[in-house]
Amino acid sequence: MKLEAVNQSSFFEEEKQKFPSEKPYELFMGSDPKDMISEEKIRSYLEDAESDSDYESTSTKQAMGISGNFLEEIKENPVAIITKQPSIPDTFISLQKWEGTVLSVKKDYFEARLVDFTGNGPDEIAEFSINEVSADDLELLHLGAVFYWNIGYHNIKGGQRLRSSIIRFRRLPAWTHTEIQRSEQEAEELMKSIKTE
Amino acid sequence: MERAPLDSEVEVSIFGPGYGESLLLHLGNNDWVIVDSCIDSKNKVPAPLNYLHSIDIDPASSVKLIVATHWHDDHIRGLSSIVEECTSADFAFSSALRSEEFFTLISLYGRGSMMKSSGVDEFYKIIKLLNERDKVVKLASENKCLMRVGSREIHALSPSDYSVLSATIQLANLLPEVKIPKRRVLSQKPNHVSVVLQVIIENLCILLGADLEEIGDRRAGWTNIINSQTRIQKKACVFKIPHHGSKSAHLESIWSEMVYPNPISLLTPFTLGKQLPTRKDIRRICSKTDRAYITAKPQWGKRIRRSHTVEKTIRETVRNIKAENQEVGQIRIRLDHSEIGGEWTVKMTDNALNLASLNS
Repeated sequence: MKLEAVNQSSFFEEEKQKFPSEKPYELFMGSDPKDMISEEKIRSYLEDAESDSDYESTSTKQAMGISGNFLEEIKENPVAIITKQPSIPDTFISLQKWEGTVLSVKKDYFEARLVDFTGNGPDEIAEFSINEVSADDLELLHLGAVFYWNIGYHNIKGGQRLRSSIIRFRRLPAWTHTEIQRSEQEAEELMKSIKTE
Repeated sequence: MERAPLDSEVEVSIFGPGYGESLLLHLGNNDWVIVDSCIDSKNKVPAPLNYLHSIDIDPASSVKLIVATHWHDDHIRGLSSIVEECTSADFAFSSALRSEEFFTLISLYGRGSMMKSSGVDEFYKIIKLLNERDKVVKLASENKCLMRVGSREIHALSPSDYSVLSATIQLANLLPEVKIPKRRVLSQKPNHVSVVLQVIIENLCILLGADLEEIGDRRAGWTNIINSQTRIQKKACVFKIPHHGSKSAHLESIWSEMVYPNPISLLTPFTLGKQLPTRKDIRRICSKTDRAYITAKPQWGKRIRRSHTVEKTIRETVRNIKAENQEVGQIRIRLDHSEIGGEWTVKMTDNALNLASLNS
């Protein structure tokens, strides 16, 4: 199957005039240019479809709002307007959330104190494997670092639901010269104002 | 309702959940002293205030002195509420904390909401309150008298000059540098700041060991106190065991030179990271006295009930998770000072126990 056949359609020429875009060949889902699917994506879908016998039942197809006989239709008619299906945006339903403070970091795990952000439970101490920390957050893993641990359901587009444990370190701003200077000044004032024997 | 102690009765109460410690002393004649603070999880009120209210004592007029032995979270939670309520009390804290380094630290971290739950923001609130009140603050250091009412005295036995210097260096290392991301302050070891108190009520002596550890240096720690030529050489009949009974706070000569044989000994457990006292610690303490009492078992809190889904995910994610024991235990001892040959009476809440019961 050649994607070029789609691109040659006069339909696209007309649509291009209505919605000028830097990317000339794109397929619309609905009428909003924001819903455009890139050429690269379409190509990957079609290539996947040829190699994947289970394509008809994949959730990805549902997520994109592609109708069941899409492949047959596109073979007959190189121009396809895909009606956008109402899709559920990605959402996260939190069942339990903690705020953690890193107390110690060992070779392959770290220990943290957890404060319950969901209920009124007591503080807890937990040991996490370093592998639980994403590569992006690893640089933030230091003594005293603050993170959130969230357990819940992740609803993704297409209706799938995943049970998730998400550890995300807070990217707190760095100390500034002004902050430190202001605190030094305040400290000096507090020292002067405290009356001692 | 429990009755308040008589004017002639001396009373010592120790409060402690799995994480936290506070002491409340009645010196007689309705003069009360609070040392450190811990929170009662039931109503989020500092445990000593809860007790004073329960026996119909007005903290505003009856508490004469509040002592913060150090700034660690387990000894200071809720102390600002105590300072706020006890309006006529003097406030004493370690002289090792009256440094530019510590004040800069509390200023930096005390203002930020992200720093909640660390001892520094509690200290910041206290200093602000004291400033508003325009009260004189007492600085506790080696062999300094913090309170004297008739024949009742409270002396600080630490920190030593050397400890003050060591603490300043330690605190300076905690100060953040420009461009370094913000993080919480964690307590440092060893604890150079801790204030040991010697309470003298006529012929009675009570030794409150705070969290002072032995570091094997004659200029600091317990060795410095033992060797001091200027401290009041009086043996104590009641001993608050330092640092949750840990080996690091043990020195044989404390038991031989600073307390009478078989003293009433009080301690709180510590269950954050590691558990204190350990079995060995319990065995060691029980070999010194059969009158040792602990406010709660040195064990984690009850398992928290959560939904199956959450439990399953927790098990899949962490190697280990333990809840803090939040139930505050209290041990109260009383002695009528007017009775010749009077004995201390011990009263405990359900979760407090004789340490010997754990020595099996």
